[in-house]
Amino acid sequence: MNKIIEKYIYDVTRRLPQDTREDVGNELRTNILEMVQDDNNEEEIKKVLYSLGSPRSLANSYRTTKKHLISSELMSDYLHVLKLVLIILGVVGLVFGLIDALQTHESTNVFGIFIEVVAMVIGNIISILLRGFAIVTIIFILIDNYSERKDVWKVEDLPEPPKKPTLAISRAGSISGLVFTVIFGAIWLYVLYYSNIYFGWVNTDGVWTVEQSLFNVEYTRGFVLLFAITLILDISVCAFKIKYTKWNYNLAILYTFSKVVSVVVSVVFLLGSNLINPDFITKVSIELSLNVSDVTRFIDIFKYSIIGLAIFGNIVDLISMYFKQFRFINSI
Amino acid sequence: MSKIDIESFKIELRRGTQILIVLSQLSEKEYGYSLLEKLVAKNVNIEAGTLYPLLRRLENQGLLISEWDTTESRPRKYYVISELGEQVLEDLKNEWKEINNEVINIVG
Repeated sequence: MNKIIEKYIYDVTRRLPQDTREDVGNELRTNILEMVQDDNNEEEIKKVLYSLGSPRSLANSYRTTKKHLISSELMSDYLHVLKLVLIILGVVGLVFGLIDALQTHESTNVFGIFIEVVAMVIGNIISILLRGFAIVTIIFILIDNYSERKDVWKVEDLPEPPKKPTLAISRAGSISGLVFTVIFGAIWLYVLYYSNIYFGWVNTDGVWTVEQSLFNVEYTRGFVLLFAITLILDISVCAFKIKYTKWNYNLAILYTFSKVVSVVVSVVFLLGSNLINPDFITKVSIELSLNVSDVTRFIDIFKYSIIGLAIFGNIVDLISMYFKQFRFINSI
Repeated sequence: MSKIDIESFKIELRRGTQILIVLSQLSEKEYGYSLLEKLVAKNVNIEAGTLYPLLRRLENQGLLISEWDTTESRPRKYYVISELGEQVLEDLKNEWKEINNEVINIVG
């Protein structure tokens, strides 16, 4: 028995169902041996084997049962559903990842928290997307295997074609957006740096002076760089909106990224334990004759409301952007 | 257009006719290689890697009947057309004539 021929036959039959391997192997062996006149001539054997083609493609021709999980008729429906599910789950993963990460982070300094939160959110999104992918795929495999293949359709069931795309971005809107972003962004960075001068318990006797500042100035100064980065991202989004004049993939990705970064930075900023100057709380409780714990609770409620609004608002904004602007490009 | 594209079009075009050709040559029993030689002698262009699996598929579909002959030094698997295969062959022959006419009328 020739070794090369046996190797070839093995490589073909190992790809076939168990019960047909022996039969196919025997038949293939006879045919190959008939094709080579002299089964000691290695060159001739090689020539014959090459004429039969690669073991994979030969095995593929022998196979009678299907070897795919989702048939091509279902493929477009599958991709369509997968796309929708992944977009929705991506946003859900972002929200819950953010909430989870901000509650459980271990780092104490700003950059540590920032990196930790970003890493946890990315991990959360990836794991939820993988789960979504698996579930959608399994459902489609089941549909493909167990549902009756019927291709009955009625004219009445045809979907409405989408309206004409409106992908254009108003130029005036983008320019005013850019102006406001630059002005308010710069003001925010400035007051963040001098938070001890602009926020606090104000003494209104004659000249306005901050007697007891609201924030820890070292803490707010620590955030100037991070907010500057988000400002640069916001400005570049505005600039690209003006440049492209229409929504496209790159712009949408940059927009999403800038939104996520600004929400994460803001939330980390607000949740920091050193944000509020403890002397301010004492001052307020004395001046207004309140409990320190009441003042603290009031500030906390205020902080969490802002966080909630910021997350909610940005998610609504992103979802509406994706669904309104991209339905037409994706035709999802 | 690249050479590979042209080849795949040709293969596509030949595919259906190969079943007709194989069925037509199996009124007497043949094994894989003997059928291949017979076809080559009649100037029919078919590859071994296409023919051998095709025989097996046609057998699975009930168009051929197979039988192992172990009396000789080399055991051979012989195929012969079944009754169902004969019917299918008749239909395919008529279909081929129609296709042939249609195509020649249109393409010239």
